[in-house]
Amino acid sequence: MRRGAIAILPLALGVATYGFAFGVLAAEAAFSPLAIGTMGVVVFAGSSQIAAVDQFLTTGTVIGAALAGAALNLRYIGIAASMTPILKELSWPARLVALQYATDENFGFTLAERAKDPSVGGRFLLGSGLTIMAFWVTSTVAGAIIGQTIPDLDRFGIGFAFTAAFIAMARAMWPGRRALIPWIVTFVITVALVKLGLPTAAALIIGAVSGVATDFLVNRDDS
Amino acid sequence: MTADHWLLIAVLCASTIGLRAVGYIAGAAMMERPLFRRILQVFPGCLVTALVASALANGTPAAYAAALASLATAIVTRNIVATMAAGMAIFVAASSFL
Repeated sequence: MRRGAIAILPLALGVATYGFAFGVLAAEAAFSPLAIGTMGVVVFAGSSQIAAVDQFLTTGTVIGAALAGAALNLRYIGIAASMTPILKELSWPARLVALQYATDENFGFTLAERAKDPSVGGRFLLGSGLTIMAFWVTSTVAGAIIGQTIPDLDRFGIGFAFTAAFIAMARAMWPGRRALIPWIVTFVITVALVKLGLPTAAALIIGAVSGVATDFLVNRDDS
Repeated sequence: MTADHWLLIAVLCASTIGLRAVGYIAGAAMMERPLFRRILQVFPGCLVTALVASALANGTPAAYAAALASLATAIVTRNIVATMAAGMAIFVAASSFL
């Protein structure tokens, strides 16, 4: 466990930088440092937290924000399924903790280390996950505290920060040219629906589902 | 802070833990179905694109300029903090000109 906790430190520092930025943004949406810390511990899903706080800030509704956050978490079904063989060596309580604190970063890192050394497994995943969680929670709370003390964050362009974060996430998720047309369709339909006055949450879901349907149409060979 | 803030945290907590548990218990069987596997692969990217689109739908020219700068930075650096910094800087600069 200690080995994973130490080996993940460089990646954890990277997570902390955008954790700090997220904390500042969350303070803008009136989340207290205590709430942000609590969210980090009990939710612990960076992109989902960012999407939910953004939607909460722009729409003011819990349903829309929760829907956006939960929809982004769907990918954890696949990640958790892939973790099954690695987690089997842990006790049930440790297994649940490792499952909760697995991220794209530490799960991918564990798999990469396991490919080099088969003794790397559940304990490594658990240690690395706990380290990432500690860095995430600390940095988001620090960001929220700083965000509360800086007046008029708009002059720093904070109003665009979430959009930029989503663009960075999209870049990280880019699977290659096959996504180009589905993503363009998603973009155009979502913009049109928002312009037509549809609630943002509905526009998001319809836009994303249209993109998935387009993927099935234009990438038939992949099915 | 309002009760809605805590309600959102509670709902997100339930959905995250629930989806991770579903993935652990039944994920392997679900991923064996090509249709389901493909939806799980494609949906998150489309949703993030939709989030960008909804943010820009009623955006100013400055927001579109900042989005292009963010996209270029994201492609080159693949770094979320650098992308946010570039986007915010261009947004502030472009807002005074456009």
